[in-house]
Amino acid sequence: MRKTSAKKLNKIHGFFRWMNLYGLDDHLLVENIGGYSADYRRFFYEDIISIIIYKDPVWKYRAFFNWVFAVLGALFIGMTLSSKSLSFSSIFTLIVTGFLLIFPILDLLFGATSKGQIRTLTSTEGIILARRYRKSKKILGKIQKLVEERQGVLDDESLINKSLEYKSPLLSHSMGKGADKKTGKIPTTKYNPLYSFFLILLFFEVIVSSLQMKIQGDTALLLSSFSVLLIIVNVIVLFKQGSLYIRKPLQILSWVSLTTFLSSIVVTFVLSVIMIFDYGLMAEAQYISISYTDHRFIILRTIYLGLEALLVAFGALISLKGHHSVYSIS
Amino acid sequence: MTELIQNSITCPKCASPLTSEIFSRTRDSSCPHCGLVMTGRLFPRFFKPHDEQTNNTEVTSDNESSCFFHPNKLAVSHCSECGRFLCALCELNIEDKIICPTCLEKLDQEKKVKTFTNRVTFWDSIVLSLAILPMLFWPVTLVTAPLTLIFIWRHFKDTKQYLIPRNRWRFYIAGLVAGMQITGWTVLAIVLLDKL
Repeated sequence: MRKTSAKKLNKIHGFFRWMNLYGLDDHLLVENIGGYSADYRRFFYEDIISIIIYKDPVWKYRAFFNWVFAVLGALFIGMTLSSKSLSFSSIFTLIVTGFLLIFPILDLLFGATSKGQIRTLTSTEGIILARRYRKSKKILGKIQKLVEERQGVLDDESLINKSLEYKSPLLSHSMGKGADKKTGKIPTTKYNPLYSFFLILLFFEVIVSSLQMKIQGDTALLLSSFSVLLIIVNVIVLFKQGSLYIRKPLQILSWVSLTTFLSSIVVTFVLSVIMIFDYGLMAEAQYISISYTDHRFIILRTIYLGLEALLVAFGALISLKGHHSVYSIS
Repeated sequence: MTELIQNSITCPKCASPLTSEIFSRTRDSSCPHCGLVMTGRLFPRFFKPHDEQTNNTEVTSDNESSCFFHPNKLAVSHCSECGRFLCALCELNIEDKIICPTCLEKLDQEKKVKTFTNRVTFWDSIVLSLAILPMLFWPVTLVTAPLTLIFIWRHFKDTKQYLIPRNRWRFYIAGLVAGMQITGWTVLAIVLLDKL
């Protein structure tokens, strides 16, 4: 038999089993290796009708538990660090606990896990192209090129035209859950970065306040640790557009924080202005418990509070607009 | 109207029919019923008729060759193994060779058709484990070392016949380890005999 040229598309490693995906001359080969043997499945390019990859529905539950353990771990780290002395056992425990933080960070960095389905002339089978959804899309692109070499290209326009020609049910746009009633389209999820911005602002304030208000001991470090963790989360979510089911709790938290934060800033700003005009800058300095060194600092602080209040109010208005589109997804 | 192979592509989660937006090449979409986020590719095979013709015509005159298995059907090719004439239905294109059903069955029994191989045993990995793992309980190597060499001799050429050919480095390392074990046992036997 002739020698075949196999192009390795992907490999997925597990503890006892792993999977290799090869693109051969005329078919896709899935090699499942377990122990000392391998099972093979073939999908001939000529016979492939469709390939679908989707985010694993179970992933959100796994991510939730990862986060619960991560938060517990962060709290434990904060409490341990706030103690006066660190023994070897506490350092060791810190290191182990630190691993709990890795899983949610990995989830945020790499995104949802994925599964797939391949449909051929004779059967429909499950297939996993890659462990993560983002990588699966890249593998799908490679497979698409291999299949198109055999079958030809079916671009978006051709798909619509052929669906019209053959009156295919593919063209039916059903009004599904969360669909817009006017257009029938479902809005795509897009995390509003302003949520992250105000949440980050809040957590910086918590850190600064805990230091300024001289909260001591475990509580301050506990708050700081939790705040640092959530800052990291928000920065990653801001740039990586993580799972909707992680963004939702963060969005709820951001709404709560925005409301209380706005209220406190407005109140503080108003009180500062009143105090400055009624009692002077010295009184203001005494009120906020700092040494009166330069009146410009007091004025700048008051202006800062005012700007912050305006910014938070503006952000709240923008977030209200962004809130609707995000929450229309089921 | 030409029949489609399948009328619709369904959602893997809720089995409801999917729309063409799922197969958009530019962005992700979601199932209109359950909201499962997905993306996909649809290929031209979906629109080709299920009963795509292969020109299986009948013999019309005595000058035309007929299929060995269907005497009334026109022969379109011949088997590369036995030379029999074959009609469009009987010609089987396996690994770029035209083969008749009888020869295909024979080759499958002789395990010469890689396309039909669905399971492979990795003797190189077995041999490597057989050489290394028993060292945890070293007296067992008295038995496993020769066994390793026997398996290497028996299955050395198997790696080239795998669907995805593998290197033979596992055989070489296993052979080296087994050789060292046998040498060790030999030395031990000589020393013991010498003492006796």
